[in-house]
Amino acid sequence: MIGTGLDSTRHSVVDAIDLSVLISLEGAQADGEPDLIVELIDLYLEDTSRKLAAMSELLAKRDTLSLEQAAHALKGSSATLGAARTARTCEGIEQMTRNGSLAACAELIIEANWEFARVRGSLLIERSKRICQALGEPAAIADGSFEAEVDELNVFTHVKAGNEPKVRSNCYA
Amino acid sequence: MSFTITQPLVRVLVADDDPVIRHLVASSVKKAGYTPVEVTDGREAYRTLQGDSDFKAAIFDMMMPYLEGIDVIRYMRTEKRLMRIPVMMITSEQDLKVMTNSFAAGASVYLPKPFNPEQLQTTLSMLFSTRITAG
Repeated sequence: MIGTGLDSTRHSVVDAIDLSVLISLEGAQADGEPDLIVELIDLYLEDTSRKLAAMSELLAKRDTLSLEQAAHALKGSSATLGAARTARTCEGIEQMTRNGSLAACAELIIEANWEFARVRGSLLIERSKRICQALGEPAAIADGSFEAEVDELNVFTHVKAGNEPKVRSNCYA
Repeated sequence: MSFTITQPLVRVLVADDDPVIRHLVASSVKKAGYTPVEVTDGREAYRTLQGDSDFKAAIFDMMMPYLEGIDVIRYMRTEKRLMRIPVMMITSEQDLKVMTNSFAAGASVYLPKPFNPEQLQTTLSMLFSTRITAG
């Protein structure tokens, strides 16, 4: 059965990413270089937004080969960063594209956008925490507003996908 | 009078169209003490190798725009000046045939996605210890 965007909203922002997978990437941190996790988060957010927009355009143009390649690429980076649901949705898009099931593809692309809104919220929170930690600032996490922000992001994913979630961390950069 | 000992740059070519994977691999290469030279697709890797063979190793994603990783390896194995460069192939394909084809084309090591840094470091160690005798 093909999922819909509504299915994704059952999950919260906090479980959108397997943080143990993301944090394990610290093992590739080179000495004297900027925080690798923050850099990877920035690259992933920018690249995924671009790829998801491109996938919708490719579907409209019925360019199935390019669509399959885009889904394939997004599957790899999502799995590497711990966004397992996004990776599975992309695998579904790949399969449906190969089968020529473009209606199912369209549903899955919507689902991937919903899922990405949650992943984005989760990654922005982690990014903010790491930057605050590096700066030695307690930021919003220490004053109890962290949970409120998570709630806000959860509400956000129920309301509308695709816009920038607002994380009110003191040192959000 | 003071002397500065300059460590010669030992470069590794990293080709992947995915910026996340490319940056992760490049960081691991730096951690291992080498200098990554990053390119964003197979055609750029091919063009780089046409004019430059000063690489300790090369790391290619299998599926890249314009020219796939396996095609770049095939080119390298036809050029004497590039034959000695060991190549790591990265792919999210689970198909055994893809792995077999990579080795048949001349890949030295193979890393399936998703991978963790430990797997990446282990595979990089295997890659850097690979010696290929040309001809």
